[in-house]
Amino acid sequence: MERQAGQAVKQDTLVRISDGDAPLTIELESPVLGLFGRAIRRAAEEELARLGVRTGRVRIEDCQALDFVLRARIRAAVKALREEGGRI
Amino acid sequence: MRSWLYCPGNSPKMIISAPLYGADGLVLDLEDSVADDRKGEARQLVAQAFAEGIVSAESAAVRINGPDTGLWVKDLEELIPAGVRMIRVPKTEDPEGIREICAALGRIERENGIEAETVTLQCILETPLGVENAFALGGSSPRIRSYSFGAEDYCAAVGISRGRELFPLDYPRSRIASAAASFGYGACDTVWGFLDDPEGLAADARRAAQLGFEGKSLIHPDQIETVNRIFSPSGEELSKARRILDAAAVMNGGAAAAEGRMIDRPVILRAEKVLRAAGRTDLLKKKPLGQDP
Repeated sequence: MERQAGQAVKQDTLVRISDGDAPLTIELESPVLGLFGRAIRRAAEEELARLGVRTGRVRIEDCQALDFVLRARIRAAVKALREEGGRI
Repeated sequence: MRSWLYCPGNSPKMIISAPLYGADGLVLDLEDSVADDRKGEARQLVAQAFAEGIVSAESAAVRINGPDTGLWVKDLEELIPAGVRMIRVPKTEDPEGIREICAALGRIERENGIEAETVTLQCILETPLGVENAFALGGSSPRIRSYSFGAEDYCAAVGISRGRELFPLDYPRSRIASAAASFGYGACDTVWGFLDDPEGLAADARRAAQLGFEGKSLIHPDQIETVNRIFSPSGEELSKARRILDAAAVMNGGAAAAEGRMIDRPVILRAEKVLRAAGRTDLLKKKPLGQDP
C-alpha cells in the first residue's frame, strides 16, 4: 500500500510512503542535493522518528521546499497510510 | 482589522509569501480552495506553518471546513495544538452549531493544557438563514469576536446574480453590521471577486464601510492597499475627531457645539472610534488643544 502527499512543484515536496516489514529506507531527489541533501534527509529522519516510523519505504521528491513543508507532507502521508490500515 | 487576505491552505508558496504583502490579517483556507482529496495534507501543512512560526497566530486565522462536512473536528484537533487561536467558521447559521463547535474547542483546549476559551471565532454569515440569525447568534459564545459576510453563497441561495451592482447586498450587509455592533463584534465584509476591476473594489469597500463594516476579506494581494486606505480614517476625519474630543473635554458633560453641529455622547463615541481605527488611542487621553504639555 502506498500513500502520498504534496506535489512536485516549486517550494513543495512530493512524499510517497509504502508500508512493509523491511527496515525503513529513504530515497531523496532534490535539485539542491549537493548543498542541502544531508539537512533534508536529517529533517525527514527526525519527523519519521517522531511519528514512530521504523519500517517501509519513503521516497521524497524535493522541489526546494522549506523544512516545515517537508515535515507536513511526511505527517500527512504517514497519517493517510495508517488510516487506511497500512503497517508502518 | 481592515484587510484579511485569504490564502489557499495547500500551497506552500502562497503560505510563505502571504505574510509579506501587508494585509492586517491572513486567513489560511482549508475549505473552498482545497480539493476534497487534498484536505488531509492541507490540514497538516497549515498546522505546521503555525507550529513553526511561518505565520503568526496573532494575525492569522484558519477557515475550517463547514459544519456539514464532518471534517471540521479533525481540522480543530490538528490546528489548536499547533498554535492556531483564531478560527473562521463557514456557513454559521444557528446558535446550536456554534455551541457544538465550542464544545469541541473546550475539549481540545483541556486535552492540550490550553487555557479555556483561548481560541476565538470569526463567524461567516453566508446563507439567508445565517444572515437572518445574526442577532440570535450574538452572545451564543464568548469566543465570538467578529462576523464576516460571505456574499457568493448568499447570492446563490437567494437567487441574486453577484454582479458589480452594490445595492443587492445592502440588506445583508446592514443586518450583519448592525448585529455585530449590537454585541461589540467586528464586522468584516465579503470578498470582491473581479480582479480586473479595482475601481469596483474601491466602490464596494466604500459601500461596506458606509454600512458599518471595519474591514474586508480579500482574495489577491493587489487588493490590500485600496482596502486598507478605504477602511482607514482620512487625515481630515482624524482632525475632525480630535476637534470634537477637544470640544467635549471642556464642555463638562451635557451637549456643546463644534464643527457646526451638536456634540453629544454618540458624536463623541464616533470620534473615539475613528481614533481607535487609526490606531491613535494615545489621542483619546490627551488634554484639549492648547493644554498639551
